[in-house]
Amino acid sequence: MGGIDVLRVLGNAFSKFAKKYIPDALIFAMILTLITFILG
Amino acid sequence: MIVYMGDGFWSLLAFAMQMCLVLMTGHILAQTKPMAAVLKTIAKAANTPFKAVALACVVMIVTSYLNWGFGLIFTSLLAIEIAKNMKGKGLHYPLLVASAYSGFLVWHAGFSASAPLLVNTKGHFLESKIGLIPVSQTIFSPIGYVPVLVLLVTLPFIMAAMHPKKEQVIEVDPSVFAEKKEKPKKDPSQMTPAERMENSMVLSLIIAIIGLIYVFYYFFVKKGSLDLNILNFIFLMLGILLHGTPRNFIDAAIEAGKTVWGIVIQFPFYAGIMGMMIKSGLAATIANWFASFSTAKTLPLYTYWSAGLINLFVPSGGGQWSVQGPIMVDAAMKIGASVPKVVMGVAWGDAWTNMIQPFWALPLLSVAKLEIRDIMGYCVMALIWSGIVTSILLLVL
Repeated sequence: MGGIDVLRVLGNAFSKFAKKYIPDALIFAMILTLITFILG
Repeated sequence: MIVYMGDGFWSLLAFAMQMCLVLMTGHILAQTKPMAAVLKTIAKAANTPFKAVALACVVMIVTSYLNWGFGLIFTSLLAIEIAKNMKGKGLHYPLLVASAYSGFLVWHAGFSASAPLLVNTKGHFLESKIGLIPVSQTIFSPIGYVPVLVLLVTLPFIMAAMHPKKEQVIEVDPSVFAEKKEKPKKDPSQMTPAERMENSMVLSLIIAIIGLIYVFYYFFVKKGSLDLNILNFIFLMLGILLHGTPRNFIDAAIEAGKTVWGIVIQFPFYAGIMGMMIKSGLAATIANWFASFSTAKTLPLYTYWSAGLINLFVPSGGGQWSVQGPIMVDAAMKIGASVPKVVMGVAWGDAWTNMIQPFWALPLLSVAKLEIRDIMGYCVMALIWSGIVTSILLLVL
């Protein structure tokens, strides 16, 4: 497997993960608000 | 913490309005015939999916290096034009948009870099400690331009190499660039006085000329520098001029207005997060922790990492410098580290984790009609690669 194939496989893997687990940007902001609240 | 959030919630209203205008005026301008022709000409340079993805990245690197606001909107619109050009040729649209966004990694080492420009501005809030630091020691020093050059050469290739095989390709949805229907033109003799005014070029011409005279005054008499306000002003006046009639301009503005809802709704949340981070001392705690185990050699690197972490919560570049700058500068002076390198550590770190932070991607996503989840996977690769490159260069340069 060449370098380009490695990049393609990694890109696809990250992309699939993000599509499954990353919420809408507004929800993302709300979750960050919550994390900051807890950390603070 | 609830009070900090509530108090901070509306602190980015002016900035949010500027961002909405960046998006709207850029969009209005792109709908004019001359600008559409420029975008079309550049987009034609890409005739394969590999070239298309690489081109979007290169253009963002170059334009956001010149000015981040201009880069963000210009490359967003170019990405749409490329997608339009490549329809049916197997271009993976989410990767194209991710690649365009990845070029934004260099903005904080360019001509509109907040932290480096701020420390070179008379009366900046750390002047009594560090004086003025010329840009020759920050953005025009090796730690400013070498990472930019390395990313310019390598990042477009890395993004393009991730292009999936044919069966996994998701092409652009034609609704993204649905052509607006031309309204049938009325005979001027049958127009009401109001309609005649809306379709007269005279009013647009007078307003645009007044505006452009101010632009001349701003740059050549007042000696002002390119900032968001003047950029928006230029785009707005050129939009009025090039659309010809007020009616054409209004129709373009209505269309452009549809793209700004994400910014309007989400920026207040980030302002609330910034309020909590800054007023609770959380940002300072993170910066202090990294500074506590740094040496003169490693401080710029740890500054970069801590800036990357803090940027997830305080995505505004200038805002981040005001929180992190004083702590890192104190640490640098205490252990004899290079202050300009620490400034660039904050700058690079601030831009770095934008790859996994939707804040700056919102304008691009609005134009592209995609969700953050569609591009973030690919942006993670840009994050990893730029993280490796910049970390090494911060240690060796």
